[in-house]
Amino acid sequence: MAVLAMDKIQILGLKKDLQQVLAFLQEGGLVQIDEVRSDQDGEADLNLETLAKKDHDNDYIVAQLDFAIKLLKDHAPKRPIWAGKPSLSFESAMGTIQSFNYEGIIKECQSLEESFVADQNEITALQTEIKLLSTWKQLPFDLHIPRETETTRIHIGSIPKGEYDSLKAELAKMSDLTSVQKVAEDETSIFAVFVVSKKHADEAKLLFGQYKFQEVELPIHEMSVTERLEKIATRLAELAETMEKHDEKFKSLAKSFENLQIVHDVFVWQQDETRIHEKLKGTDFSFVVEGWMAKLDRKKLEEGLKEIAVTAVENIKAEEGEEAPIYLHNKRSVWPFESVTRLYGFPTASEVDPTPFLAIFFIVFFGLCLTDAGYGLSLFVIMFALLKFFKLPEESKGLIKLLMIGGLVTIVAGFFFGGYFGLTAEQAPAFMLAADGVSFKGQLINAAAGTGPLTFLILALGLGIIHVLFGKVVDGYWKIKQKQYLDAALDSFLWIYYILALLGFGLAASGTLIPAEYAGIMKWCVLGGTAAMVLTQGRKQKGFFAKAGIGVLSLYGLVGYMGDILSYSRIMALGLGTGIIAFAMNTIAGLAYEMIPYVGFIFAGLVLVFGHVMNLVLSALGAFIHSARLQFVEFFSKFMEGGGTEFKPFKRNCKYIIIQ
Amino acid sequence: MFESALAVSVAGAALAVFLGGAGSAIGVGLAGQAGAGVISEKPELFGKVLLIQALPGTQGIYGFLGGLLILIQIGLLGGEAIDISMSTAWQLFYAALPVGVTCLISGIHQGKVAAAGLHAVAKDQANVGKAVIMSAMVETYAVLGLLITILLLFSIKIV
Repeated sequence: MAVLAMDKIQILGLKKDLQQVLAFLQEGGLVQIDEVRSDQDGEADLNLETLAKKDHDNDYIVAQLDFAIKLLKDHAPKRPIWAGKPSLSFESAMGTIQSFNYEGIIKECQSLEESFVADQNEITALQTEIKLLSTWKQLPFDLHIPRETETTRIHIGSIPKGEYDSLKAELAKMSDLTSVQKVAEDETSIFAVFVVSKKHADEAKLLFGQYKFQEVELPIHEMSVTERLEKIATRLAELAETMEKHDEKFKSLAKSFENLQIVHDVFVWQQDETRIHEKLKGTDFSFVVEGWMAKLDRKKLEEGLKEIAVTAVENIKAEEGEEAPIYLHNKRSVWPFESVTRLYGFPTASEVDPTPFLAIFFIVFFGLCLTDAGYGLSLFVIMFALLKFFKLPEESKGLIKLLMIGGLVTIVAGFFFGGYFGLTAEQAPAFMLAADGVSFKGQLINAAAGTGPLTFLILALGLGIIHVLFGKVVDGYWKIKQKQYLDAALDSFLWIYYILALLGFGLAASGTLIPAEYAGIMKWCVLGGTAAMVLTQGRKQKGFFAKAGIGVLSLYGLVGYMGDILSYSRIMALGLGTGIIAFAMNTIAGLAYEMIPYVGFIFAGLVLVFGHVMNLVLSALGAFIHSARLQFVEFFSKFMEGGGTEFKPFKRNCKYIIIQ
Repeated sequence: MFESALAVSVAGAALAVFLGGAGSAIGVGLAGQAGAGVISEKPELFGKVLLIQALPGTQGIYGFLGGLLILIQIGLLGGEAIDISMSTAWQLFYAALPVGVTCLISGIHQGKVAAAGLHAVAKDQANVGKAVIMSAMVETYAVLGLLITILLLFSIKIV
């Protein structure tokens, strides 16, 4: 029902039993194992040595399994999304690791990947070569002839069309010992072979540069270009076949995909177990485990340990400044709301768990931010179906359940506000309407007309006042529990009194709710409150002026409360927004139906479906975020700061599978 | 444009939609750039990145809402426009300003916070919730702008 009380404990035992003890701890997940301190409370050093293991075999196998799983991921048979992760018993997982030849599969994966990559590279290289050679099909000599002799050099390349003739003329002018042969041409360039005497090599180089000649390097083969192209084609056909075989191989290996995942997780447990040794210490024959656990699990731990080995479990003192890790535990009805608390972070060990206090407010605000029974029903049905037909991991169930409850509350809110997919009373079927014909059955507030918006706003602000004051009540309750009676009275309840007195005075002075004749009494209540505030709020300061100064300054805190309460007006804005956008979608769909001949109903249907789905998603997201924000910023700040670290017990962590 | 009452009120509607849309476009764009960077390293985070990128998008919707309400008030949607007075038209025009301006500015800044939040998510995906809430802090002021615009539009008498 709150933040569980934690003990720091020490488990002592014989080294021969260490294996079983760790296995038990990992199975139970009851203890968060921390590093053993070498020196305890100033006692003599016990000469404890670290028990860290040197072998890294598990790390290596996990890395290999990760590789194989990544490689086969795209080839594995797809699991339907509602099936979730494979779930099996611990025994069958351990059975898989015995019977399944994972080492063989990993080796096959490695060699397959090697040849697959090599073949793929060859295909890319050959395709590049085809691109290069296809322009040179008419090359008048085989590819392997030497590119230079003792006296000449061959230049193969392309040149812009306009420059070809001039370059040819210039080369002829330069020397008689020059040959130019055109091989091919396309729209912009001419492809040609130039043979130049080595004597004029430098001069020729200059000319080539000047006329934008681009030399190409053709591959060397003992055949003509055409023959080479034919050969490449044959080789590519072969490779295509090999690739198909690779693909089959991938598919057949991927049949073991699920087994690989199981083995992976089992090895991760072993890896965790090996690593946890680094935190342990011991002598030649004994071991020490230190860590945190919940008080109420103590019996379970001791009884479990008794069955497997002779051990001693002792309470030890936490180190100075060491905070107990936070283990939240709530009733089933409140449990889904832990996901809201987790979003903010954990309270510290000395603070109260806000989950049970925020639950009702969170869900009411969420419902009011949507205020549409149609959307509420949709949300409820979707989340219900998710829970019923999809196998979800335990961690995400909380959020889904939360949204499901949110859907229910939204239905109620929608009922009172007359929100049904944004329909107006004129558009709605007659059976939904009340006797007057302009409002829905059960509708209390019409948020979009007359004084409706103002009523909604007052409702939102009223809820804000209750929420903020309730935050102060929680603060006082917790302080009393901590036996800080004076702080509870002066920091919590005095504020509550003061805010209520101010409110009462405001209401009485304006004659709303409270008759005006009470204004005089209320005024004295306020003045008394003010005096009490000024006199007490500075009590922790030293010296008269500091006490008085802080006392007067504390009145400024009222501005903060006012800001907090005004912040709840967002509930009204979001609630109205949802309805108006839904109404807009209906209007646009109506326009489409009227204005587009014949097929108007199709467009109208599309607009309705997409429009309402989009509005539901965005509004629900907004409702969640803003409702959460009201908890975090306006509510939590009254009684907690947070900053606790989560309790992370040593357990079987699963990535791919679920252990029943 | 200052002679026609209809034009003045339509200008108000246009302003609300345009300012809100511009704020969101810039904001979602900023967040999207950061998001693309995160995706390039960790494509598996796409869902979470998309969620955070979408957050500065609400301002566009609020602006749209404000504009639409004006169109409904002057009867432009699906029918003949009501013949409104010049003074009413200007009232509608000014009523569009709170949502327009707050959405423009908060959209841009929410985009910046969302982009920074995406960096936090890239480091540790457990930060998603916190990044979402931090980004939503900026949105408060767009919601307040929308609130006043809605209240004004509901209470202005169309004459």
